Amino acid sequence: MARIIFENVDYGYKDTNILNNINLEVANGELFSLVGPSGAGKSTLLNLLAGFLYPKKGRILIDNQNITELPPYKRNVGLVFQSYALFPNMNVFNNVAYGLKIKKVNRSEIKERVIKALSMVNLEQYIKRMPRELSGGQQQRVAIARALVIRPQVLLLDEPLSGLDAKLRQKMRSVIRELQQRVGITTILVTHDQSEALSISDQIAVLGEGKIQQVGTPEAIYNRPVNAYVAEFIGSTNLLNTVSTTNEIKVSLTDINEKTIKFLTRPSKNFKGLKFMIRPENIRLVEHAEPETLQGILTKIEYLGNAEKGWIQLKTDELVFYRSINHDKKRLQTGSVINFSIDPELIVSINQNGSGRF
Amino acid sequence: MIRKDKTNFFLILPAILFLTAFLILPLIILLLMAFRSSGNSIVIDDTLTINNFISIFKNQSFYSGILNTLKLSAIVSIVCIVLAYFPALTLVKTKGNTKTLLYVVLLSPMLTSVVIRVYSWIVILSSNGIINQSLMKLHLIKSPLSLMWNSTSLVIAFVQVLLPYAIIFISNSLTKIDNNLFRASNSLGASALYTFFHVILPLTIPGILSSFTLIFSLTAGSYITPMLIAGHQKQVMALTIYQQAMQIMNLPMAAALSVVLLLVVILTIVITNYLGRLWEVRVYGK
Repeated sequence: MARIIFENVDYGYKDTNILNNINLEVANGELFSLVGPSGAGKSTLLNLLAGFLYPKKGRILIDNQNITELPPYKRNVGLVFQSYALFPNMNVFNNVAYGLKIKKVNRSEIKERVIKALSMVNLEQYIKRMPRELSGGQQQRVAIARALVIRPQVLLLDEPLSGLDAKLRQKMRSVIRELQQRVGITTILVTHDQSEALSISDQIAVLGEGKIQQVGTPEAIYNRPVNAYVAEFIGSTNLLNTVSTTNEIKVSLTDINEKTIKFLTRPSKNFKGLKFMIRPENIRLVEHAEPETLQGILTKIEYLGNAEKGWIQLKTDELVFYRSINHDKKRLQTGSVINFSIDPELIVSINQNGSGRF
Repeated sequence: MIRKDKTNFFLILPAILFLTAFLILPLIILLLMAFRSSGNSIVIDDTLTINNFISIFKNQSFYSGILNTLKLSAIVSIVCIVLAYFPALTLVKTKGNTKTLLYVVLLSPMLTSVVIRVYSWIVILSSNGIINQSLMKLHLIKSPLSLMWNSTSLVIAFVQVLLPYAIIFISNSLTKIDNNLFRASNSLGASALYTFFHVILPLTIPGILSSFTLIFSLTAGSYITPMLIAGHQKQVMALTIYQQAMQIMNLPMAAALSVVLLLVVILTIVITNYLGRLWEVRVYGK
């Protein structure tokens, strides 16, 4: 159980940096997710923590102990990979016992601890199976048991669910969260799946362009993104155009009938370079045109089962919206004219100094 | 399906014809020859007999010959396999042009003829050879060491040629291992050595067995290297066969000895393959 600190960490080759000035603090017992597009340096960060890579600059601490220069086998870190990485030449028992044998734990204790670890992931009856005889989800659970049995200070999960099908992924997500809570272990989860991160994390760090864009609770990341990068990476979003004059910034939309609604006006000296966004679920469709509604053409619609995602073309802008489906609602047709309204209260301003709703 | 089978048959037909003409037929001739009587005359009569085999198994020197052959082949195979790991690991880790260069270096011993290669060993190892001359000039030794005409020099000469096979087979096995296995092992506290013996070695068993099969049979079947390097100090089967056929001109006896050697080698291959199959079933299923 431990607290992890990254202090001014740089990583890269000679002149190019993959990671720039990373400062992170992961609190004891937290499930901390690293999200970002592929190539953002999520796995690099994880490898730095596991000891497979060494930073160019900076320090990494686990429980105030500087582990920056420590080789992997001297760090007390449990690793779970996307490819499971179970030893194919060993059965489930020997896979889980591997780390304990290295630590020269005595035989009866090994047996006891392996069985305990496997029962934690509900696999105690598969003790004699070979990895190939298990399903993907089961293999991943063995891998988690193998990582936890050595009682690591931190658990690192490198895209653990990417290899599983959608349904199993949902299930394993809660298995991991439940297990992490039960053991109370500090866990870092690397994922490119934002819904995974939003659903099970205590804290999320969004990585992009070699640096940390934002760290915060899932709620903060989703509702109060600090910049356009985060806003666009997490969930769908509509960035709204602004018109700035010397004194003020205006957020407004013009529809297909040249009707313009001004939603917000802010003094420009306090809000320079400000961006505004509205989440798709906050665009409200209405039956009939009213003074506060705009009109657009539905250009595309995606059926999501319990919801619809659609694109409305205005005069110049295009907006994305979500609408939940229930059986008394008529399904929308592409090409039809849509009336909608936006509550100015739900427009979020994005800036580096803390964003928020107005 | 049937159509496809037919096409497949036509595709392998040339290979079948070639093998029939140049492998199966000669083998049949060899087998027949082994059962002819081997009198003192050069004329071979037509009656079939098992006298050749009886005299082979009665002769004490046959047993030492077969033992020498098996021992030599096994030692050469094992030395090759042990020495192959480092180059194989390097080969797997390098990329691009360096890899190509390494392959060229690796295959270069195979591009030289056996005789030239063996003579170069004589130049190096003989009493007037480079090693002995240098050591004597440096006054490290008074009289030349006998580096030639023994089994060590024989093993060295064989290993030089056959090592590339082992490297290729083992590096091929190594590339099939998921890189994350090494990381997993490492993060569970294993040193590089522990990982080697518990993960890398077991997972390259197929490569080890293929190398063993090939190097074993190539060593057992080679007569030029033993003849030139070890002379008659070390009587191996292949050399006996050569002497019977080319010096004593006893073709039936040579054929009979060949059949025995062939059976011994086939038996070894069958056993190794069986072990490999057991391993495969355990790790990968049927």
